[in-house]
Amino acid sequence: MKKGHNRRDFIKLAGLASLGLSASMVSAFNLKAIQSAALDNSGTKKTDYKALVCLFLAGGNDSYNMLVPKGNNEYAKYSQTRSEMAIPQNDLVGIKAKNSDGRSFGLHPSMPDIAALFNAGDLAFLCNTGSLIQPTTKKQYKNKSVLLPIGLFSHADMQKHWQSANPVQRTGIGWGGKIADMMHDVNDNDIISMNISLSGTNIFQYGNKVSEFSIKAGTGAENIAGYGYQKGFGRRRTQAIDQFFNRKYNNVFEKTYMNILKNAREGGTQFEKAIKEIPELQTEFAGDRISQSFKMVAKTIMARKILGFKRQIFFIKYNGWDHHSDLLTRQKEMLKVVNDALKSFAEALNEIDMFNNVTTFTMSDFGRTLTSNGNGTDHAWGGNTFMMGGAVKGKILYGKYPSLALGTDIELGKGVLLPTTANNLYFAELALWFGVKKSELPLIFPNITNFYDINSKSQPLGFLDI
Amino acid sequence: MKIFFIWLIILLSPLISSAQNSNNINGNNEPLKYFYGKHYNPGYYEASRFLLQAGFGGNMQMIKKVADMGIEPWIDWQMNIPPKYLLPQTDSIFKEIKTDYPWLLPKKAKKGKNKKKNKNPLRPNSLVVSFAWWENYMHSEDVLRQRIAFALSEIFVISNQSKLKNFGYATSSFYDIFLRNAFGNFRDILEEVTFHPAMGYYLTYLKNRKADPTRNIHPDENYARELMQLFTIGLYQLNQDGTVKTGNNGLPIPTYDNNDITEFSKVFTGLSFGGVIDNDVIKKPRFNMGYRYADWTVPMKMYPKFHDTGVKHLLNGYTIPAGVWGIRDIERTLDLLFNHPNVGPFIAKKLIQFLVKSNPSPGYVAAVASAFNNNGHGVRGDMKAVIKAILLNPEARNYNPSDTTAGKLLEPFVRYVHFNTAIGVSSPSGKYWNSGRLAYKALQQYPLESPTVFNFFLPEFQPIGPISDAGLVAPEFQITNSRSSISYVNLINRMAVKGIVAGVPKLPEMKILTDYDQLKKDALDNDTLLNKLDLLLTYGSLSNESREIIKNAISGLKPEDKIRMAVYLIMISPDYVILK
Repeated sequence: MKKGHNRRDFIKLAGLASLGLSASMVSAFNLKAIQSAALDNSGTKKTDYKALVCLFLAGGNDSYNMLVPKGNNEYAKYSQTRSEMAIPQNDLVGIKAKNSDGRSFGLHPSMPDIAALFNAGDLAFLCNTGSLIQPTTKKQYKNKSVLLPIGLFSHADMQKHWQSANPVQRTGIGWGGKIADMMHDVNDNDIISMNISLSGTNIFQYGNKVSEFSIKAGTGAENIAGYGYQKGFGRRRTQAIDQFFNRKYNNVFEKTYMNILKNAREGGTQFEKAIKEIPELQTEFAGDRISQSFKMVAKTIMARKILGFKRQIFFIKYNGWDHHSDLLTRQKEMLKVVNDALKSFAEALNEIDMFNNVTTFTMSDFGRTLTSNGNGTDHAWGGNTFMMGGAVKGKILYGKYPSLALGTDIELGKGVLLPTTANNLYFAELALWFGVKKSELPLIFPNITNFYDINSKSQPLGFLDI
Repeated sequence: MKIFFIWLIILLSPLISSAQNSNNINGNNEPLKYFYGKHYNPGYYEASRFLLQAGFGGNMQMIKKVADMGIEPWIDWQMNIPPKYLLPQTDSIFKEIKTDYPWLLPKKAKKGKNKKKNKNPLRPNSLVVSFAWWENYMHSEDVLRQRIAFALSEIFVISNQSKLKNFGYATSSFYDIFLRNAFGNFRDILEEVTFHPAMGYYLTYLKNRKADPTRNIHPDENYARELMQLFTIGLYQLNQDGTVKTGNNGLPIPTYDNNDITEFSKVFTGLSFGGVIDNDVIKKPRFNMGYRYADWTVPMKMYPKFHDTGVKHLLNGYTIPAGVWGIRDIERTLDLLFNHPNVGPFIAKKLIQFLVKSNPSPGYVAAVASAFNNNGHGVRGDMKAVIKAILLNPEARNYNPSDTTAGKLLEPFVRYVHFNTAIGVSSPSGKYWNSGRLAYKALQQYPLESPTVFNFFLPEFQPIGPISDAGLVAPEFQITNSRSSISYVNLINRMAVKGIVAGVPKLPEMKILTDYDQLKKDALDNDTLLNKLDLLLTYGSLSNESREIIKNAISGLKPEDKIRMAVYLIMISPDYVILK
């Protein structure tokens, strides 16, 4: 994390801490913290803890094979459109939505535990959502009479749009980063960012003042080998590195490199110490990187008090969803990884009594063409996501699950679906739950007012207990 | 001040270097003699800096050679060294491993109870290709070609983070495209990349069929899109100086839209494997054949039955009529893209960012784009002209320490190879088999290991703080974070302090070790050691402050420890990691 303007503040505060003031008193000296901590919208006290956990399925999850119509009529349309990319009707894992309009749905056969979480009311889906700048009809799309997301259908841009919530322009600033810009001061940690990434630097968590703190599955934070030794070679090394840290650099590249390394050094030491202090999790996780990343998130949440966090945003990116080929085989393997990871994560959050405080949600570049390219599917637009947690009003399909027939009024050719719910609404709902005020939404989501009246009493989508 | 003076001289060095060649301070011949406590011939510093742009850094011999020859003659010499290819080296190491170290090769897929070791594997995997990369690099002089090839592999990305990791002949022969054409023509690179089965596999147009409306099947669009977005023209119309053109509404003008993608996707149908390896199962390649017996080293061929022969409306009104032979379809499409005015500035800027600096001036991009458009003899896409335009431009050659926004973060992999080059390594086994596994984990970068087709980092990345405040970009910072910044420091620790550069799994005797022999004499005196390292690693740019810090740290240590400490500290210092 880099938040240069705060360094001096922190040093001042650290000074107070060394005079014997407790951590909470130290934060009370931070005026900004008091302001931001009002969190009026959330109706919660500032001592509460909340976390958002983003699972990014990079490459474009074919989410119409994740959430599939199961009733005979709707399945027939699905099957006809998808031809050999269709999953057999009997293989689908049935789910019982409260609001299915008489339609029945099933999940991909790799996702029995996601189905169980859904049926238990702990998980919900958002249907046919995607990046939009303003409400858009098929005709407007064809005539280009409305602004369309730039770089529509390209990975780099569509991934960026989900992370920035701003499909008008190419920007490296994400909505998780902007939230952190506003809210980081409610935390008592000025070294480690409230935005923690298991997948390195990313747009989602990048703000104007706050970026991510990168850790890794397994051991957590990195630390400089041999730093902090009191004798001999190690002492000299430590001294020299400290002197590097304290030196002044004029070149902007040098300055940036040193800021990153210095913050990593301080944060890494602190993080490692905190993780050592917490008890071992009893919940078992699979050995793959995704499950292990979720385990690390759970452990970080366990260490929230030691580290001084009241609000955190986590990011896990799972690459490899660009299934132009081998869709059926590869998506099956990968959705199983997601299923197993989230099953364990839910279990672990319940173990540490944090399930109500943590909302996990998925993002992906785009949905994929409903029609096949013979062996897989191509880039499309609208797709389905899901959200999990105690605050989620589960067992519900939000948005509109579309007909999967070709030639409908949202089908743009080859089974590319125009999104019917702007992902900005999805994000805004998550942000409001997290403690952002309605009046602040446009600062984070520049196009939100095209879809939502921020003065209205209703929630953007209503899937969270706010 | 001292450094500034040195560089003032270097600016004039073309005038004086020839005079110095015969009578330079190092005497006229090998072996090199060092003058303790004194700085080197100014041309050496320039050479050292140049070698970080044109290669993976230099050692004393390389530096001296550049200084003696002069930069442009050195480039000419480099361009005439015949390439050493990765495929034959991969093949030869693979055969050696099969005979002598079969346990290094992956086991056969576990099926049922039959988990026997694969006694006769058909092909090498990515481990062997990595061995071959290093064997070639450590034993060749053609560093310019190798660096350009690496840069091109970061533009035309395929990756072992896919099934390709098991197809070493595919990836090594693909990399050879860049070694072969580094000084050739960009159009040939496009051609070879497009027809290579590794790219066909990675961007999924291998076995891509024409549309079948009765089954709702359309052609795969993957290659059509990335060929334009990443390999040739990019998303927006560009001016020749690389700046983005804007329309009347003030917004960038897209180069293509999704309808164009659909049209282009028809072109890349009907391609599949062009050959089979020696086997008892299949004699001739077929459109629908599996991967196992395919020959991944020969270009894909056209299977007309699967090619869309309909009319194709490509960019800006260019149309390919119906009924054109499939290969001609592709050739015309590649010609069309190759001649698009965006290619020059698009590729120029990318290459400058890889080799020289993150934020080239529009004038610099324009000069390189112009060399791309016309090499002076009416030829478009001449890589020799492009490379010379990049490396000889004053913006590359002039070093100006007072420009606080100049430079770039050296790519992590370049730093890693630089250590191997400049510091010296030894291999008791005589082989240079570096698997790269540890390096990749620590660096988040390694040849042919990009996480996606978008390379390790995006060209427009802006890290928070002074760089984005100044409106600048710094692509390499996208893989520099709280985790990787420290894992890099610890990798340098492993090499510089512990003395272990690389190892081969299951073959401890093949360790590659740091060899400080060349520095031992220098280490008798602190200043001499620092002068030497300042030349080898920081081309004379080590700041007085950093130098003092390091000098303090090494004072009083045993000579061997002095070297360890000094190399470690310099290589993690901002002075070093930022190429200025």
